Amino acid sequence: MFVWNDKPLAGVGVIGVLPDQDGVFRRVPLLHQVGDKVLPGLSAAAIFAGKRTAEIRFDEALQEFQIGDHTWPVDTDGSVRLRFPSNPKSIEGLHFSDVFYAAMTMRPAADIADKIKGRKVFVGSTAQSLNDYQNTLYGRYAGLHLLGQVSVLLEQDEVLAPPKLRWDLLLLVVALLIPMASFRERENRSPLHYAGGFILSPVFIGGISSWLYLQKQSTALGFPLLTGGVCFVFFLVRRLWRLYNERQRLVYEKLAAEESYKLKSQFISHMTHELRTPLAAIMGFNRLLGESEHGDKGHGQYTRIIEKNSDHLMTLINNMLDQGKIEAGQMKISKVPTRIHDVVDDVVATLSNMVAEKGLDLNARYADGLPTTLDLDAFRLRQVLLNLLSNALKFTANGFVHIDVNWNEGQLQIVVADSGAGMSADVLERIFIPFKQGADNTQHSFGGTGLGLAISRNLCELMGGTLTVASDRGKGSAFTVQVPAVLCADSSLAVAQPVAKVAAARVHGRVLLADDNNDIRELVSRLLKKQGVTVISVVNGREAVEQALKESPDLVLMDMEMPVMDGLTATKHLRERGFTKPIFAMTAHPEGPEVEHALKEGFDGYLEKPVNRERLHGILAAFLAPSSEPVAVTR
Amino acid sequence: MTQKIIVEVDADLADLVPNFLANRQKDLKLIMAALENANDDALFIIGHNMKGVGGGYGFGDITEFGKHLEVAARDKNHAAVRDLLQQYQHYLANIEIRYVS
Repeated sequence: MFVWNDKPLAGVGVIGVLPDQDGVFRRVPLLHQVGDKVLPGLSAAAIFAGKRTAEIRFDEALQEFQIGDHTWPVDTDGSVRLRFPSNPKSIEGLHFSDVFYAAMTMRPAADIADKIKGRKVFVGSTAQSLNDYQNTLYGRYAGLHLLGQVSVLLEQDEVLAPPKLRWDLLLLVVALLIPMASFRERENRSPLHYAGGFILSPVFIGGISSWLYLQKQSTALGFPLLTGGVCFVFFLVRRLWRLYNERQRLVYEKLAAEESYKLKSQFISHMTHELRTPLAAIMGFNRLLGESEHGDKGHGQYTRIIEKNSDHLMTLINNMLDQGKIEAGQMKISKVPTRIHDVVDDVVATLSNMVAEKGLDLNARYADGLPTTLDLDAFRLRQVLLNLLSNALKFTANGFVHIDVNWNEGQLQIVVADSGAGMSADVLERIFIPFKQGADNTQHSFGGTGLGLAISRNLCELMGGTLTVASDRGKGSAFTVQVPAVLCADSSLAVAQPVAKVAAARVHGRVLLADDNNDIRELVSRLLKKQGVTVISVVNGREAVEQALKESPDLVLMDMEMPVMDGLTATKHLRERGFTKPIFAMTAHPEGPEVEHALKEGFDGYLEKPVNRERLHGILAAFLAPSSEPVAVTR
Repeated sequence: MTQKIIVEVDADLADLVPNFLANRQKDLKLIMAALENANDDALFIIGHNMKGVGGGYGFGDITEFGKHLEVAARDKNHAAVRDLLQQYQHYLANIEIRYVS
C-alpha cells in the first residue's frame, strides 16, 4: 500500500520521461503528486507489477522510495537519477503477434515460451515516425526499449544519490584553487605552465566526479566547470593586462635608455673635447716652460696658464664625480654648526678676481634678524653658491650681481640675482637637466660641463630644500636657494664668533653613552663632561636599555655594534617601551645602508666615528638645554 | 736615526693617552695572533675599532691604518695586512706626542 502522511493512497502514475534541460535523459519519475496525493509513476508501477505483495513506502524525511527490498534515493521532484551502464545489455524484442498468439492459444512456440517465462514483458509499439526516442548519455533509446532499460536499472539499484552540497563545494573549491595556483605571481612562468593548469582543472574535477559516480553519487558537474572556466578567463585577462602594461613600461624604458645612451655618447664626445683642451694647454705651456731659460719673462705667464687650466680640469672632474655620486644615491649631507656669513663671504672672496676683471658691482646683503650660526652642510652650501655666483658673473657683462641672505621661520633663503643676459622660457626648462646647457653655443662661449646647475639643485634637494629660478631675457636672472636649517644654541649672539667656540657652548643634562670600546667611552665621556653633561656609561645594548628606562637620560649615544645586544636592537626595545628621548647612533660606517636602516628603526641621527667634536657639540646644543656656566674641564 | 712622527693631541686628553697607546700596543699583538690564525673576521674587527677610535684622540693615522686593515681583511689579503702591521709598529714606535691647548 502507498503511504503518504499516514494516509493510504491508490492509483497508478502517469507515463512520462524527464529529460534535463540539455535534452538528455538522466532521471526517471517514480512519483508524482496530484493535490495532496503522492502517486507512483509508470516505472514504479512496472516494478510494482512484479511485486504485488511487496510493501511500497515513501519516506519524505529521508527522500527514499521503497518497494520490497529495494530503496531508491528520490529527488525533490519525485525522480530517481539513473546510472546508465556504458555498455548496456541488449533487451530482446519480439513480434507482438507471436506473443499475442501465445497468450490467446496458451500454446506458445517453445522458443517464445522460454523467452517470456519468468520475465516482465513490456507490450507496446514504437513508431519511428512519432520520433519516440530519448537521448541518454550512452546512446539513443526507443521509448519502449528505454522503459525496459529503466526497469532493469531500477531492479539492479543502478541509481545515483541526488547531488550533495559538500561534494559540490569540494568540486567548486578545486575549480577555483587550480586557476589561482596556476596564476600565482612568480618570475619566469612560461605559457606552458598556464596551459598545464587549464588542462589539470577539468582533469581533477572530472576525476573527482567520476569517482563519486562510481560511488553512486551524482554531482552538479556543470557549475564547478563553468566557475573554474570563468575563474581561468578572469586570471588570464588580468595576467594579459599586466603583461601589456609591463610591455608598455619596457617600451618607454627602452626609449629612455636609447635617449640616455645618445646623451651619454654626446657627453663623452663633449667631455673628451673639454678634457683635451685644457690638457693640451697644460702640456704645451709645460713644454715651453721646460724649453725656456730660467728667469725668462714668459715663466710667470706660462705658470698661470697651466694653473688656470689645471683648476678647470679639476672642476670638471669634481663635477663628474659629484654627479655620479648623486645618481648612485651616495651623496651624503653632513650638517655642522655653520656661520652663514663665513660661507657667503668666502664664496665672494673666492670670486673676487673675476668680479674685478669684469668690473661688476658685487654685493652680499644680510637681512636683519639673520641667525649667526645654523646647523648646515657648509661644504655643500658653499659648492651651490660658488656655482650660482660664478654663473652669474660669467653671464653678466656689466651691471651688478647681488647676494641676498634672508631667514624666515626655519628656512634659510639665499637669492643670487644678476643684471645679465637672462633666459627665455624654453632655456629655463632645460638648464637643470644634466649635460644640457642654456643655449647650444653656451659651452663654446663660456665653457662648463652643463652639470653645475643640475648638481646644485640635487644638493639643495638633498639638504631638504629647493633651488628655483626666475629670469627675463635681457633683464637678468635670480636663482633662489631655500633650505631648512636648525638654529644652533648660540645663534642669538649678534657678534660673530669662531665656530669652534660657538659649538663648545656649555649645556646641562644627562647623556647615556653605550659603547663596548673602552677608549671611545673614555674619550666621549671626557668630551661630554667638558661641556657640562652628566654621563651614564654602559658597555652593551642590554645595559643601555636598563639604564635608559631607569635613569631617563636627556640623550642617548648608542654604538651600533656591541656584544650581548647591538645598538639597533636596544633602540627598538626602547622605542617599543615608550622611550621618546633622542637616540643617536655611533658608527664607523656612516655611508652604508646601516645608518639609513637605523634612522627608520627609531634613531634620531648618527655620530660618525672617529668622533668629530664639532658634530658632537652640535648634537648637544640641539638637544640639551644651554647652561650659563663657564666651560670647564671635568675629570 | 729614525725621524719622529709628531702627533698633536688636545691637552685635555693627556691623562687618557697613555692608556690609549697601551691599548694600541695590544692591537699589534691581536693583529699578529689573528694573522697567524688567518682569522680575517678578527682582523676586520680590529681594523674597525682602530678606525673608530684613532681620529677622536687626534691620531688620524691610526684611523687610516684601521681603514686599510678593514679593506685588507675583507679582501683576505694577508700580505697587505703584514705590510700594515709593519707600518703600524713603526708608527707606534716613533710617535712623539705634543699636547696642545
